[in-house]
Amino acid sequence: MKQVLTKTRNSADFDSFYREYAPKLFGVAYRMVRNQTDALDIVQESFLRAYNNWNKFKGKSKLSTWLYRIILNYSYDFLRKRNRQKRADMPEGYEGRTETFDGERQVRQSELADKVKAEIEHLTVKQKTIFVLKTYEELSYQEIAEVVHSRIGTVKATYFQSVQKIRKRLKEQGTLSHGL
Amino acid sequence: MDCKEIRTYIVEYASDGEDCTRHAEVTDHLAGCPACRDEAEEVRRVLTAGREIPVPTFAPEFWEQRLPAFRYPARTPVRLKLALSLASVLAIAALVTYQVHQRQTTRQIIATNVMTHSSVLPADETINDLVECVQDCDPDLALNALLKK
Repeated sequence: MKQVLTKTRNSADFDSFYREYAPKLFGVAYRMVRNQTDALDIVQESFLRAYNNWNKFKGKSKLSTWLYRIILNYSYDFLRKRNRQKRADMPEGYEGRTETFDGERQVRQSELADKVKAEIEHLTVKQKTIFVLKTYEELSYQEIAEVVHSRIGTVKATYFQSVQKIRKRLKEQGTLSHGL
Repeated sequence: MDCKEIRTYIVEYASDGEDCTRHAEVTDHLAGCPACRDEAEEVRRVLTAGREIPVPTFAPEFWEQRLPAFRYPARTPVRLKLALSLASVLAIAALVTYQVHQRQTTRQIIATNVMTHSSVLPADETINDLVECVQDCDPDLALNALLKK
């Protein structure tokens, strides 16, 4: 769908934008927080903020870029809160487990995919954000740079670091060499 | 380019394919360098596996059901907040007015009672002291007790 960039945006514009982007942005939130309920909350909060500021949007960037920023900020807030909570609640050495549910298993997950999924959690928030936007959302480096307010060179370098970090950790575990 | 330099492009090469800025050079190098080729293959496998990680999907109806929440943004809470703020201001104003009124009434009672016992009206400071004394009890009893002293 073409992005709505008219000066007089209305509810109909918002609705069509929501229909196209809600599922996509849910994917981003889910990959950031790895929990369905929390990701749905993040999407809902983000679109509510977008709706309330719908007519204030200046159009300096694409609507999708603006919304990616909102959803990532909510995800960061959530991760910060969760980390604080974890530190307060969990005994030392607790590794943590993420929620799984039957509906999630729509595609059969390979063992390597599982391991990559686990390794993504060892990335920094910035690395994770760029990895998610590049690998799953397939945004260009330029688009990612706009979303995260960074330079293209920095985005490329961070993406490189995050992929190499995952690869090296998997290699150390022997995962890649076992032909999984 | 040597291996060290090539490796800085391997992620971009595996991720972006022909859009990689040094695609041709990396391709040529990989053809003759098994070590870099292995690394490129590992990166490709990581990215492929990463893309396979599933995300729950929902039918369009699911998202449609959640849409009305945005069509009617939180007007009621905003109005409620305004109403509560206004009510708070009014309550504080009423309380202040009541206290000022109470104080004035007490002053009048004390002044009247003092005048019945003395032809000279006491100084304001004295009345103020008496007002403080009788704020929480019967002004007449407090005054009588003071006069007896």
